Amino acid sequence: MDSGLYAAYTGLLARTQALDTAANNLANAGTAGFRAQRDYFSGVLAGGIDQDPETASQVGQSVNGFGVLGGNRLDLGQGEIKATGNPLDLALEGQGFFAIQTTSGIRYTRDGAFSRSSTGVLQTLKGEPVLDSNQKPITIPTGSIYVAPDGSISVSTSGGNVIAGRVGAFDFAEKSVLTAEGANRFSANGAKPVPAAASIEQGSVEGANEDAVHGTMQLVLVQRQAEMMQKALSVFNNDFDKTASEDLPRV
Amino acid sequence: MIRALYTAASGMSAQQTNLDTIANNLANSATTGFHQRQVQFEDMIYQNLITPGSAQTQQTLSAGLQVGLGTKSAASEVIMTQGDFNQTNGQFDLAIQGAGFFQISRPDGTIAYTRAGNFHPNSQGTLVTTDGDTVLPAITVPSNASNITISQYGVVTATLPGQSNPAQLGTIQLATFANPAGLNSVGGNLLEQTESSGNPITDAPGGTSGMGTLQQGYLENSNVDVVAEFVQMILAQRAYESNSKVIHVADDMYSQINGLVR
Repeated sequence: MDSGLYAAYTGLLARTQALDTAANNLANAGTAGFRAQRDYFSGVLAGGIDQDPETASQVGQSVNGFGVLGGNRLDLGQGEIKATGNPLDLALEGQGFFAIQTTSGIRYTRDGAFSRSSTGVLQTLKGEPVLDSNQKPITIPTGSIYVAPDGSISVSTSGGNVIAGRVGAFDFAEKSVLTAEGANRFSANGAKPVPAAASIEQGSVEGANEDAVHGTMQLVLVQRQAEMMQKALSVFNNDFDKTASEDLPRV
Repeated sequence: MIRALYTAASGMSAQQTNLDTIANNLANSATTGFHQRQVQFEDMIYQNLITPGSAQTQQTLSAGLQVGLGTKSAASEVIMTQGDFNQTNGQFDLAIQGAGFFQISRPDGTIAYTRAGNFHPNSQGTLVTTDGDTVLPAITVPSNASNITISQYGVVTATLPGQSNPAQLGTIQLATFANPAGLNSVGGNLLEQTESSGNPITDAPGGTSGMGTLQQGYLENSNVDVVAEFVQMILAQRAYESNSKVIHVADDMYSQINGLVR
């Protein structure tokens, strides 16, 4: 009986955590290059003596298989591409990330709202240099800028056309190495990037890949599931315990 | 769940900033030389509830459990596209076609920059803005001058009485910046240089440093796309609404949990 109470309790706790994720996805629906996080639930066999699923009894497994929040994964699907008209706003189409040099090392981002620094270096809005395909900063001379789909930046200056460099797009063989750090950045936790197949679109910024329909559905699901767990808890709490403590002694 | 409440509140406050910016863009849609701004958001820090790659019960986890704590406005980016040209036929109305800003000397002696070229001569004949600040380099137009022409390269010429050839009165110079988006808007159509914009590079219009050219008798309208701003406004409203729904759900779950206690 108590086991079921704890199962319902962990279920409820997992839904409150799922609500946190759904809230963050919806709050960032307007964040450039934001990648939504998707929760997955997993069953945990609570610490009985017999933990081996092969030998545990069916009843034991179903009663003790608690539904906890197993973790979440980054949804790496494409976000909508929004035209801004700024020549240094770049959007990635397809899988991949821009590499930026931060104080804590190289980080990866899909937020392509870039600008030129006072010294001509291509930078993010926070002033972190954007790196080229060899992970070096790019200096852009003044003039009108054209960025090709492969990331090559050509600038028409008074002295003719110059290729200023090539914006790097990187991807990872194992996508799960990426963890979100905030400020639209991802850390690869030391994993080696490979060149990405993504193409670059000039004058646009990629939005978040969380849509309102998915976010709202998630909210409704979490709300209803939490309601179910609460009902289960109150059955244990009110009916069973009441029977055990008040009704049974009277017999 | 407490996290969800604060996360949703951060989303609502970010959308408020967004709406403030949209309102300012729309209010200035008829302001000469105005450049619209767009708010950029960023996600806040994440709490690692389970670190990815950590070992748990014999198997290594391929993904962790990260909970994000919401969003915040990171920057309002100036969109530096060209605005439409509006023909006024005013002989001192100037529009810049391409990059560059007019240099304006303010009463405190500092220099500010503007794309609004609605100039006129003051009582001394010096070319000034509508606020009376001098356009640099100062050009004095004698009151008896006629046929005032400003070439696309900024050369101001006029016919003076008793002279058959037009006289050159001076050349208007423009300024560009390595990062024009880093200029600071101070109102009155004026922008100030900052550390992020870099130092101004001054030259005559159409000069070697990629400077735009001048068009006499035209003014540059704002580059605000009213339709696009309305779409942004609808999106901001709906995003605000969905964040408020999160607060509602979090509150609902709270009250259910409280209801467990008899």
